Amino acid sequence: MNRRLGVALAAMVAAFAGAGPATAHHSFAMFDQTQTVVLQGLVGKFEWTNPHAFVIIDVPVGGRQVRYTLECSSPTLMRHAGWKFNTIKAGDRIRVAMHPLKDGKPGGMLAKVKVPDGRLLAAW
Amino acid sequence: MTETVQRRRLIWGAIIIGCIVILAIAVLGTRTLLAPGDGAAAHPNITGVWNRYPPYLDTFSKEEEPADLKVVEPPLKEPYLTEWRNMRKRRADADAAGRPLPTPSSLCRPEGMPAIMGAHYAMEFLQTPGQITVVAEFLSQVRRIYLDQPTPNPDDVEPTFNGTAVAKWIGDTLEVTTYGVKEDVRYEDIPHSNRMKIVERWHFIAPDILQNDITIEDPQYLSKPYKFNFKYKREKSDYKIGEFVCENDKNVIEQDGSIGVRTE
Repeated sequence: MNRRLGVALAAMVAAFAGAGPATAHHSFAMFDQTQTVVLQGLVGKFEWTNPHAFVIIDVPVGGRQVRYTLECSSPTLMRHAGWKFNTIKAGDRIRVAMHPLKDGKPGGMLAKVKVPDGRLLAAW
Repeated sequence: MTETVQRRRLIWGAIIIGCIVILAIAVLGTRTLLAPGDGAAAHPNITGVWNRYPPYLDTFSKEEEPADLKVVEPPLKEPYLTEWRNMRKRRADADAAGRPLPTPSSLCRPEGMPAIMGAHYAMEFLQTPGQITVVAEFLSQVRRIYLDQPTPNPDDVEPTFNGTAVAKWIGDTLEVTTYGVKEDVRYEDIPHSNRMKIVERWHFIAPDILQNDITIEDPQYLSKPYKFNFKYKREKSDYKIGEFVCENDKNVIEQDGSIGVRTE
């Protein structure tokens, strides 16, 4: 990782430290909220579904593509945070900060994302 | 009679009829503003979209949950109280281990009464003749509360998630009585019998802040009435409630009974 990219990612993680709007009706203890991982890749799918939306992102890791499943809040709460059903779409290049699954599977809780129009949106 | 006198009578007649029409419009219009569609002008207007108040904390918040949002320990008889405390500990331990146990809402199932009134998502209250309707955003649920109807017989009421609810206005307080909540529908894991009676008293405590005082009686399980309240804040008139139909299948029950995420 070159120094410039490292500084940019560190700044992004710092920007993600703030809390986003969300709900409290069930536990999200399957995610390690003490860890924040920054990923950059192409959107495979954006599932604008209830009870929660999902962003599927393909990330190049060590010369191969790893598909991450990132859970968001519900469309209801995401609308209030500035999202729409078409905020991102398959093929978009995005950068996200996420809290990884504790079980080690390639997935996590999407904290925030820099969307193609330049906004930094909270997903919870 | 001269033509002038006839003309004056006609003019005065038209003026009087015009005044009557204007007065009638004013009276009907005022009734509509005070109690939309209800015809009972004295009742408070609770129509609108409401969210829990104070609002639920952000998922990533490190703040302590406000006392108003905490679950009040139920006055259960033994052994039910010990069993309930053990279940709370099981949930806390499962969370600490990163293997959270499912809840009705995390499984996209209706939470039932009284949990639906906890308003994890917005609720819309509608006042129409003879009925108050609660339209919950979560799962697009509808709870109908019938006004001025006989209290349901707990031995002859169909068990349902939200039970059968009747209500009456007592002054500015709406008193809602509910019987018939399915026994396997449990608010915060609290057991109850088919004779559980839920009484809600909805009343304003400030402009656009409504408090729902809840009293639950159940001689089989409770040693005394279980009391707590939910408060709600009315949203602005342009607040929109969205469709909420569960369709994604990525929140799954793992082999150990915890709820997890199915990755691709």
